[in-house]
Amino acid sequence: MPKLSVEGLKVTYGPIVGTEGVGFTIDEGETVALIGSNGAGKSSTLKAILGMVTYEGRVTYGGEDLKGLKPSKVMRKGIGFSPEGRRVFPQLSVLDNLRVGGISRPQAELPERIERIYGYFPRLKERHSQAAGSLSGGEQQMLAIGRALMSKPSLIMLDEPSLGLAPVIVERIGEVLTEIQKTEGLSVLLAEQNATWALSLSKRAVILDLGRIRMTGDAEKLLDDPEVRRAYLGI
Amino acid sequence: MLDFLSRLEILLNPTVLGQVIVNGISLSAIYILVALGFTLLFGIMRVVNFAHGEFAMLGAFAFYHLTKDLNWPWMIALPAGVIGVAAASLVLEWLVFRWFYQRMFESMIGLLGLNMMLIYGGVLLWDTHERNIPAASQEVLMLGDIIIPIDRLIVVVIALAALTAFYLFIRHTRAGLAMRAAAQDVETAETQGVDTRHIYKVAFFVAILLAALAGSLWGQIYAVSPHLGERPLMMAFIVVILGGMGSIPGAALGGALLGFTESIVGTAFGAAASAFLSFGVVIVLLVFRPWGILGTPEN
Repeated sequence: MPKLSVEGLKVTYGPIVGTEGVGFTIDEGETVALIGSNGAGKSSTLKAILGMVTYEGRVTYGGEDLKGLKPSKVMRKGIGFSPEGRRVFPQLSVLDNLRVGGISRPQAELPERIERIYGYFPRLKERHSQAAGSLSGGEQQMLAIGRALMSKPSLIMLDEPSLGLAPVIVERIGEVLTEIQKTEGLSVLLAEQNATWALSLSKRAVILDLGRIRMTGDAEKLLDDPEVRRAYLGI
Repeated sequence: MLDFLSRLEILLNPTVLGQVIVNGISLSAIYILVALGFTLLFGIMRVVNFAHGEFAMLGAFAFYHLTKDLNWPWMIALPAGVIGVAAASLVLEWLVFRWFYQRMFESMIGLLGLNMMLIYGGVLLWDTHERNIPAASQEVLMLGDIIIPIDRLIVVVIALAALTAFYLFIRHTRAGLAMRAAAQDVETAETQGVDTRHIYKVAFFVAILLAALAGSLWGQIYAVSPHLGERPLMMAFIVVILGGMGSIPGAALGGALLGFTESIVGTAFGAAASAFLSFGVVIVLLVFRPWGILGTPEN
């Protein structure tokens, strides 16, 4: 049975359609990329899974229907979230940002968990008492991922983690993600515009266009597909 | 000009100076208590609580009835009244406040209406005459030429203890952390596991608790009537604009500035002069630095 299953998802904002007829699954420990340009429906899909927007269709996690649950309840089922644009709490310290991420866990667990996150991202440890708003874009992205990991999720959803970051930093984040996924046995849903990078990290991918699924399949095959190369990889 | 200087000279008299300092501290502490709750509600739920002063009024009446009618000692009547008012106010949270969360402009009008309802509800219940809460102590403390009434001292100690407790709560508890996160970004806080509906209720309870306490202390110094809430509300408004809407350190700084200005200017030139000056500063600040001394500009 897949870990996460999305069927016939439709999200609308008044007359505007965010996504329509989107469906896919993620298995335990698998990375799936959700690829598309601005407005393709990536964020709408993630927001629906989290319960941030109302939707038609069905989302199940570990066999359990998530419809009607608030985001703070959905995340307690084991779904970590790193939002688009990082959205760290700018005036809180790095440490307090991580603590917020761990707010659903027993207090006694937090120090060990925080040390583990510092192990993945040593830069965060160096800057633990600094206000998160004063970090560089790359550091804020690391913090957003670290914060999402604090709740010990079994699935982590990342919304555009590469946005606005230098290629070197993006590469680094990709390496750490792979490492984290191995040690924590995580499933990953990676929503990205940077198709080359996302496909290189994923096993399977769903390509969205104007809110609908355009293509879906193995990441390796999609990387070789002429249409994908032309439309999304700029080659 | 000579008159101006001679009025300032009054302040150099040690007896007067002692009064000015004690008044300054107690006024500051009370203003900070009211303003902290006001700024908390704005910072987290984006409601401008124009009815905030009325919770101070309700706190004062609860304290009055418990001490005067039931003859409870003030040490029991004060916490019982304050907690009782905050708990009972959760009904208003459910009936009125929650509909205005994250709707700033509607909240101003709606809660101005609630403000009027509470004032005139108070008039129906208690009519308009002023009552006095029995003083917690009749004694005075003599420090050389400086005379400090013990009941004033009690007000200062309780207010400072409450402010310390609030600070520790915000900095060192899980609910405090959740509030600080929600104040910065409610939507993200919810996705990271903060149950915002619950945190709204906790923040509301704490804000009303502080207002009711401030009202009780105010009633101990001045008189109790259904119109008691108007001044604390106006002062809270000045304080949060001085310090910055939604800023907790700003509320503390603004409260101290206002309390001491009022005590110093009020003693030398009268209450009208101090109110004239305070509101004048607010207008100047709103023109040149609308986010206040310690606030951050909204984009």
